[in-house]
Amino acid sequence: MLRDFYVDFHIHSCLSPCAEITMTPAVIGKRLQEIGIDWISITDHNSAGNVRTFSKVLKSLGIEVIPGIEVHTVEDVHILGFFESIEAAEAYSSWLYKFIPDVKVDPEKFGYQLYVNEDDEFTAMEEKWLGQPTSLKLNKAIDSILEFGGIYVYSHIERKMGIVYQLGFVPGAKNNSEIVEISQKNTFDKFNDLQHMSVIHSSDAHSPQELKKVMRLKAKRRNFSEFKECLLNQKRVELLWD
Amino acid sequence: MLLKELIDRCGFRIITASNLNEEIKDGYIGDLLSDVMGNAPADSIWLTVQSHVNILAVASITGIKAILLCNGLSYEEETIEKAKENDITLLETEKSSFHASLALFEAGLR
Repeated sequence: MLRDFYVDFHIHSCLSPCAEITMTPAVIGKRLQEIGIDWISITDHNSAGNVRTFSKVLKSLGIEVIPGIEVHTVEDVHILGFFESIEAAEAYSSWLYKFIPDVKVDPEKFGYQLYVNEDDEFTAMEEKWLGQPTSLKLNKAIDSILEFGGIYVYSHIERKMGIVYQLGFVPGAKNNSEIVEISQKNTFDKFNDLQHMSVIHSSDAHSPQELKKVMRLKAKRRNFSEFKECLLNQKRVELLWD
Repeated sequence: MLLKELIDRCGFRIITASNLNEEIKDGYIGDLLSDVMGNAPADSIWLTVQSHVNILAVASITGIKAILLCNGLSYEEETIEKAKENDITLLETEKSSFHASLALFEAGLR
C-alpha cells in the first residue's frame, strides 16, 4: 500500500554558516508540523554533525529524517549525500572533515556554526569554516558517498554551486541513473536534458520561513530503501511549486 | 598603487567602496574558491566571474582588498551587503578577466 508523504530533503540547520541560528530542532519541527511535512533530510554544508539531534527530536514529533550532508567539492559544486543510518552519515562526516582545509572565519561576519542538543541549546561551535570547498574532486566525492553506502543527488543544478551552473553539464547524465535537484519551475520547464534524469525539488531552506511543501512522494513507509526507490522512480514523485 | 587610482585609470564600476585608499600590491585571477584561497597574495585585487557570497570569506582569509567581477556579470544583493560589512571593495567590468588584467597592467600594477 502506497501512502502520500510530504517531504523536503534539503534543509540546513544552525550548523551551516549561511543558515540562521534559529534553525534548531524545535523551531524546524514546529514549522514542519504547521505546514504538514512529515519526511525530511538535514543536509548541512560538509557536516552531518547535527543530524543525530534532529533525528531524535523530529521523530518524537512524528517526522522522519534521512541522514544527509551537502558536500562542497573542489570544483565549487554542491552534491547531497544521503545515508541509511545516522552512524553512516556521521562516519562519512568524520571522514570528510579531513578534507576541509583548516580555515577559520569570523562567525560575526560569516555566520555561526552551531551544534545543538535535543533541548534546543547550543552546545558547541564548529571552528573550521564549513562553507568552503573541501579538497575532494567531484568524482572522488561521489565515490566516497557510495562507499559509505549512500546515494548522491546534484544540488540545485541550475543555481550557483550547482553542477550545470558551474560546469555546464551533468556528467554521465545519459545513463538514466543521475538524480538532480531543480530549484525553480522555470528551469524545470526549459531544461531539455532532464528527461534523462530523475528530478527532485527541495527548499534548500536556510531560515524557518523558507520551509515549504516541495514534493509529495508515494511510498510504503518512510525508510531509506523507499526513499531511494522514490527518488529513482519518477512515477512516485510529484514536484510541488509555489 | 592606491586602489582608487587603479579604478580611475581602468574605468571599473564601483559597487561598494570601502577602502579606496588602500595600497594594492598584486593581483590574482581565479574562479575556483579553493585555488584562490590557496594562492592569492595579500593586498591584491582578485579578478573572477564568481559572485556568490563565499567570495568575501575568501577575500577576508587571503587579505584580498578588492574583487573585480568580469564579463559584465553582477553581484547578488547578499554579497554587496556583506562586502560593506567586511570592508572589501566590489567592482564590475564588461571586460573579460584577461582584458581586465591587461588594463590593470597598463595602469601600472605589476
